[in-house]
Amino acid sequence: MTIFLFALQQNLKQRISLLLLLVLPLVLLFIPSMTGSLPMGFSLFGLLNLYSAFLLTRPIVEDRMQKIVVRIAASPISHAYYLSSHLLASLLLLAVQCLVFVVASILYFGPHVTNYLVLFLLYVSYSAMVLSLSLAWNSMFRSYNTSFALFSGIGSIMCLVSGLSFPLSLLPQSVQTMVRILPTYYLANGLLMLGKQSGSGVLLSAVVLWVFTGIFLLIGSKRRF
Amino acid sequence: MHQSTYSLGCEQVTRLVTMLLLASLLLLLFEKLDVPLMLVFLLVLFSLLLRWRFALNPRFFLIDAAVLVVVSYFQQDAVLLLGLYIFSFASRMQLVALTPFFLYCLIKLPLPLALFPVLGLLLGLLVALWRKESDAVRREADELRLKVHRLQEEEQHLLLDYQDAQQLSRLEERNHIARILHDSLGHELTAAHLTLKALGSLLQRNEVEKALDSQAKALVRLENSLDQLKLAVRQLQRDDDTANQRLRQLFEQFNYPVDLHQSGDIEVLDPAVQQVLYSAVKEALTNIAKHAKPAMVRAQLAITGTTTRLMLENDGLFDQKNEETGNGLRYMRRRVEALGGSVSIQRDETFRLLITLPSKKEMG
Repeated sequence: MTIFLFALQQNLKQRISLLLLLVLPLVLLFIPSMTGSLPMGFSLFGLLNLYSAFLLTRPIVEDRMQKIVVRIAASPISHAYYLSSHLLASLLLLAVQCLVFVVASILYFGPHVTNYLVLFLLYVSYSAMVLSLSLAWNSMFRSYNTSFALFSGIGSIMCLVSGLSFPLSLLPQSVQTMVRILPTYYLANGLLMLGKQSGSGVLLSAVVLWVFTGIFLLIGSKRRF
Repeated sequence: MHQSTYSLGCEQVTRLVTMLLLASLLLLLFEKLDVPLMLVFLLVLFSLLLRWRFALNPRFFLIDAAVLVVVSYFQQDAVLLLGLYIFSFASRMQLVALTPFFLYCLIKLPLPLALFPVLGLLLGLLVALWRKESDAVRREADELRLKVHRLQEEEQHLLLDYQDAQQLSRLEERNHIARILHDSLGHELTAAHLTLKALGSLLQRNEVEKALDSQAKALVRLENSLDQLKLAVRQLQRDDDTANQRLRQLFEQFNYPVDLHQSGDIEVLDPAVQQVLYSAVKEALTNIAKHAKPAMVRAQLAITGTTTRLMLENDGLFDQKNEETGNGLRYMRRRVEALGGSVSIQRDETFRLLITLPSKKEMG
């Protein structure tokens, strides 16, 4: 069995995984939305995706806690191969979550609400970013529980102020300026641009998300024992 | 050279200053931070992080800086980000590379903001000078370490040579004694033997006077032989007596009274082991005199055919900082280990030094 398949299996073994990946995205569809904008569930999905990504990086942290990475370091498997297999497995599951949500949205809201292909690509870019963010965040902690305890608070605040769990337009102007440095802001911004049908705006947000992905990967991919 | 746990290296300081410059850039650009400018900012951050993670050629910074100049035509505020690259070039003393970018910044930026690249340049030059200085110190420390290493090697060789010299001196002494026995004692005994034989013949022929003369001569020769024998034996004993006496003198002349219990004979030890044991006792006693104020010092020396064990105990504990870290103890350990022995230290209510050595040298 390759590390990729093993990582997939490990991720799916977590009880809450299937609930987060397949069931909760469907629940988001029923959240009422404000008139004149995309459904609220579209941005709330960012919050769900963030926590799902955090959960999916758990096997990497546990490997470090249980000193499995030390054994891997002594084996012929390179750290890059180990990490990329794990991250690709997690990204695949997150992409499935995005796909489930997008397909369900098409069925629930109808095909003309927005460009669903662009929405899916934006979600995948966001998934890659939150995955690398979780990796970088977890690399700073020795225990998953401590890491999760802090992340659950900070993640929620980050999503709240960056316009994922609360409409950005309702936030004060000063906050709207400040949150531009937060990576989660660029999903909200991308969705806003998608609502305005600005292709370049969505593309810019997606590129920023991928650059954030690169930055967090550079921080998080450093081997720690 | 020992470095404090909390001291920062040049690379860490360079990164720290870069982070500070980044943070100040973020503050300076905060009001104008739209999505495209944020993208440029993030790309600069990415390029810096990439170089921290992977050892890329610093000259690639030139490409990054050139791209940033192009971008600055479309995004005016991105000029400020060039300050980071100016810092980076200056910290590596690449003055030729930084000059065009520095001039470009001075031309493009209004006066308060133009101070940012100037600050980057000054900080970079400071870091570069510090790096040069610390490199020189590090080189010097490396050279010193190399010298110490060579001295230690020399010491080991000398130890081996000492053992060989001892062996040679023993052989020489043996030859000298054999020569004394052959040249003097042998001759005298042969002469005495012949004289006594002649004495028998003279007595048979009743030549009493001549017999008495021969007897006197034989007696003189036998006395001479006895003197020669004494001389040879004295030379044989001289070294062994010295080894024992030297060790006992160390304990007797020590500042504090030492309760010494010795079993076994130092004579059975190899000269190299004797020497190491002597220097170990000397070092241990010096340490006690320097760092402890004992009410009691106890020494036990047990020598068997295979092992030599020395236990030195005192009730005035050594200072924590002197424990094991001292050069003396380290060299002692190295010398003992070179002969296949071991040194251990027990600290409870007393300070106990245990040295175990093989009685016959194991060193190859």
